Amino acid sequence: MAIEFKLPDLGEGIHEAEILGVKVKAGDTVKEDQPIFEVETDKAVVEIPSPVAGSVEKVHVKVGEVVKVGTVMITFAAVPAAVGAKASTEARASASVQEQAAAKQPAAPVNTGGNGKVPASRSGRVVPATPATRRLARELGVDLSQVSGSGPAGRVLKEDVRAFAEGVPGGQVKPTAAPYHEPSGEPFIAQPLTAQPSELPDFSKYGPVERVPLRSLRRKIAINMTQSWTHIPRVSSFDEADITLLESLRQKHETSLLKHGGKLTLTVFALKAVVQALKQFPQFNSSLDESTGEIVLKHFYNVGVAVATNRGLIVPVIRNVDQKGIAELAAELTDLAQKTRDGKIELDRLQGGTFTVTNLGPIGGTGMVPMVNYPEAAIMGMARSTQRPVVRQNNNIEIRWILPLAISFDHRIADGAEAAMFLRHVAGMLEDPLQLLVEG
Amino acid sequence: MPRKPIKLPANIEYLSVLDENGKVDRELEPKLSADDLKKMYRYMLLARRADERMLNLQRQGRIGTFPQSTGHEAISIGSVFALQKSDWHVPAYREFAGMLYRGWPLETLFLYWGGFEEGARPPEEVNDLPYCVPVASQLLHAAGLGMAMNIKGDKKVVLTYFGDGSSSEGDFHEGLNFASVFQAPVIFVCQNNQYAISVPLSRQMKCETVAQRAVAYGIPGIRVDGNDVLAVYAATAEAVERARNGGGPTLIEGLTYRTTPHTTADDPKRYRNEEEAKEWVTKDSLIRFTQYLAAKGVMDEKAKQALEEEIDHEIKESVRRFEALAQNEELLNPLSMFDYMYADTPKVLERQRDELSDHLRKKKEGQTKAGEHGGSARKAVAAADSPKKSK
Amino acid sequence: MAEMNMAKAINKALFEAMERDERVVVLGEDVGKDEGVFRITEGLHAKFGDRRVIDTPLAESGIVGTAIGMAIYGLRPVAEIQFSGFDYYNYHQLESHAARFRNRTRGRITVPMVMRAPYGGGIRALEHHSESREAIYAHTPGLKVVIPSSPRNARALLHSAIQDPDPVIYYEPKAVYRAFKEEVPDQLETLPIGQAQVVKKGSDITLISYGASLRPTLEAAELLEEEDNCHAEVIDLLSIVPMDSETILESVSKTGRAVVVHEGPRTCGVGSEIIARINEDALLYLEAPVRRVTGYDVPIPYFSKERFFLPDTDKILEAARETLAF
Repeated sequence: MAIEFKLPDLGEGIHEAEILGVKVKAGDTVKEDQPIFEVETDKAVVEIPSPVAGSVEKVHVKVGEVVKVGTVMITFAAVPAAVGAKASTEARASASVQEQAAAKQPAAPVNTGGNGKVPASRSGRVVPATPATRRLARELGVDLSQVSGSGPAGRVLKEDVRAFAEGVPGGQVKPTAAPYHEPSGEPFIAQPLTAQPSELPDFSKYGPVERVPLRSLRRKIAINMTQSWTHIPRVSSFDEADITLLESLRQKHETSLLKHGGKLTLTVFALKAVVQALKQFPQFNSSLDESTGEIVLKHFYNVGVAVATNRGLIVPVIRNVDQKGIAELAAELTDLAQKTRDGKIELDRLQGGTFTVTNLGPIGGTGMVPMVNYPEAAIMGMARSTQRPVVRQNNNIEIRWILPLAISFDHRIADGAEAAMFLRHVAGMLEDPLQLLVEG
Repeated sequence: MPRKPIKLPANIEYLSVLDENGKVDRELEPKLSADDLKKMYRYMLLARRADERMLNLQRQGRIGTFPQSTGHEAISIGSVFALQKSDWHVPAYREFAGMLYRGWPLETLFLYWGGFEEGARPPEEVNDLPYCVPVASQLLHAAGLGMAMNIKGDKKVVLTYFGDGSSSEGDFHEGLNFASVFQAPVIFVCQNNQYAISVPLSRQMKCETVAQRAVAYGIPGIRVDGNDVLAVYAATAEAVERARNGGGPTLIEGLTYRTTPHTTADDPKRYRNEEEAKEWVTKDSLIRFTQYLAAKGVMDEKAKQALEEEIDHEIKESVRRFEALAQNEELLNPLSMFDYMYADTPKVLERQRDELSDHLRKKKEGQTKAGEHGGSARKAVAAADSPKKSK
Repeated sequence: MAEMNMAKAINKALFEAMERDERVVVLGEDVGKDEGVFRITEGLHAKFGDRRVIDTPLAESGIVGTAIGMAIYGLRPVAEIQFSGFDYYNYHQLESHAARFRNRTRGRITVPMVMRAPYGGGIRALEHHSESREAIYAHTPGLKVVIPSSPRNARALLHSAIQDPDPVIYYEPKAVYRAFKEEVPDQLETLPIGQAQVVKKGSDITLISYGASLRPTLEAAELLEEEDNCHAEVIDLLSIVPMDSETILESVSKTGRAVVVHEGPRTCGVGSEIIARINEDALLYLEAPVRRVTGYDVPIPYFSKERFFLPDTDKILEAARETLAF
């Protein structure tokens, strides 16, 4: 095997050398360490000794030439496997051995934090958004460049991303544990609420007006309600429940649950009653798939509870209500309502509902027609319970606690008779707490 | 008030045992057996021949830059020979001969100058620190070792080295001062080769000798002929004896000359007259010691020749072992740079190691290639950033 | 269990360490008869004598360089540099030798030593007596750097540092030396080097600090609680190197907001490293840029103006509020 000898780095960081002398020619026999060249670098004049013993096949450089480090200077004809033979290929050989050695180590993946996808080409600047908002967008499958930002200097906020995700049919909504913050006092960029917005007359012709932006949550509610109204042919039905017995029990035990972190509210019992009714009337625990013409019956009972906040109505969801006891439900509901009011509810606890309960009782009202929480099939409303004179057995008039109930439902899926029976079932449970406990 | 001279113990001597023709001063001749003398010669010759061989290895690109030790063998061997194995040896970077004598395998030192940290790993049972590149800083380690010996009550000594240039460093002063104040058993040996790269002795100090600086530290100081291995031995043996018996440190200055460049990256023609160097070559320690050994009947020409051949073979074998080590996968593994940072590797380092490992794997699999997508993206950015030329 | 200040707690640790392990020696300027200019070595010379409590010549490189030699020989030296403002003299011994021996000798020679130095401002000291340059050591591979914030953790951390098999820089926030007392248990305590502590739980913002800056940071956190109903989580770093990324990242991933507080200058300071790590591993949790409340990139002013240089409660509060409102 012929051996090539390349100009090594003779100093510290030397890149080239001038050939001052060539002491051998082709055909010469050389001994190892016999001087073969004299070269001058930036630093010094040095002799280069032969790295091998053998015969010279070819000298590649001549006196006066300036050669770069790594240039082949001389080729030796086939020589016996000498110690020095390795030197000629030293740099490359050791590099490859090094890389092989390193590659043998278990290659722990470096956390790049991304999905490895190259972002689509953008025009101009990157959309302003905090990293946390970017993460949400990634998780919801939202392209940030398509979202108009309502934050400072047009910054895209998490709310914008959520609203966008929910406003876009087929938006890939994945559950997440990201905290849910509400914005306040941020600039507003006017944008249409629906695809074909209806035009308004100029009210200012008739008097002074003020235009208040539909911000974040308010805007989202508006979009959802429009969707509910336009997609669901809704019918409502009403009933009343005599909750005198339940109220006395509830008030008696209200404080005992407090230490477990839950408030024993009427809603807690209503949740249990609703689940019993949903089991009897599964059509109210379903959704209509318009694209396939199928009713999607859900074999789980995740009941949303409407919570009024200073930013608007939010519906957190209690999962698997059927599997939870009264105390557990009370604790969860208390926590959920508080977090929702504080704006700290996690996004995944706002999703996956199958039915909704709204209780206006603490505020007032003799009755209501609730809006179905799209894409669910039905919603039950509770108005304020009041003491009323009621004709009881043997025509006795007694003062009883009466709770007005209402249900709104998707008439494509169910009919009025079923809705009336559903409500009666709920009312019956609330009137007989023992049955509620036994069956619940 | 009187103004009078302060009497200082300023009895700085010069010691020479062999003259320039290798003739010995019988009165000063140290008592060394024929075997010891042969051993001294052997390590001096081994260091000399290996140093010459290393120059060729460097010129062939097989090892990196290194400081030659030719001309420094007598100071190194003469002093280290006064040590016991349990004593400590703290070299600078021209104590090649002494390190070989102390038990460092030749291929380990080749490995060091060949770019491997493994070459700085002292062999087990060898009480040496490795080569020290930041000049004079090692003198404090020697002082600390000596102080620790005192604290523990061990009757050991430390031998350490520095150059004439190092004597200008602050750590030279602190090292000698600490050793002196705490009477640490440390022998400071100056390899005065009269040059700190290009700067001559006259630019390092205005005083006559390095040895006289001992006066300022209140310790014994002596200048010896640094090309006279017997003089170096005699002075060191005396200092070691004193140190071992609680007499504290000594400063020994060996006067020699750096006949070679500072390192293989240096060209002395730029700053000195090579005639000066040639003159010193004739005062070479090996020539003088050979003459002495021949006259003493310890080693004849034939024995010398046999030794030359034996050493030649030893070096060849060591180069072979070194080059095998330099191809060793474990030693070449780039990830080994992360080893031995701390007793327990912190997570941050594990992660950096993984990052390099990952990079090398990708590179091996051909995923990372400059000039492909990464390269074109960079070009695009560069093009976008470059100012547009207006016509 | 006794109540004591940090100066006493460090003294207690030295005393205990010397009693427990005869390899432990203390060396430095004025550490013997004078018992240290801050009295940190009180009682040591009287108890352990000249051999183990060593008044050295006035030479920082000498102190650290000889400590390296002692450590190599098998002792466990604790070198005191009187003020961190003078430890530049010995920096090269740490950088070139203490930090490298293990690596360059492939584990054969190690340097188990501690360099202690009072650091930081706030005590109206002389010029060159108030610097915070922990970042220099944090930038030196091979060293560990720890900084206590209270009497109890000072004592535990010093024990850990002395027992550590590698060189440890132990910086003492001198403004805390006698600032407050804390219960320090009688039984020996150590603190794992490389572990931060969450000293206050919270969910809205993470405040990260260490040393003397921890106290104003905690005060700011309390004010955020009282005045803003905002729950700040406060992390005491304790170890600058190795840095406990996990604790930082876990907290920031939860709160989405962070402020880093330290006395040292901002550029390439410890805060820069903390933010870089958040950037690497918690970027997508961030709701706002991470802020730094640090010393400025100027020499710490002489004491007439030093309070304007140092992080204080108001600066931290302001940065936290702006971060929360981002």
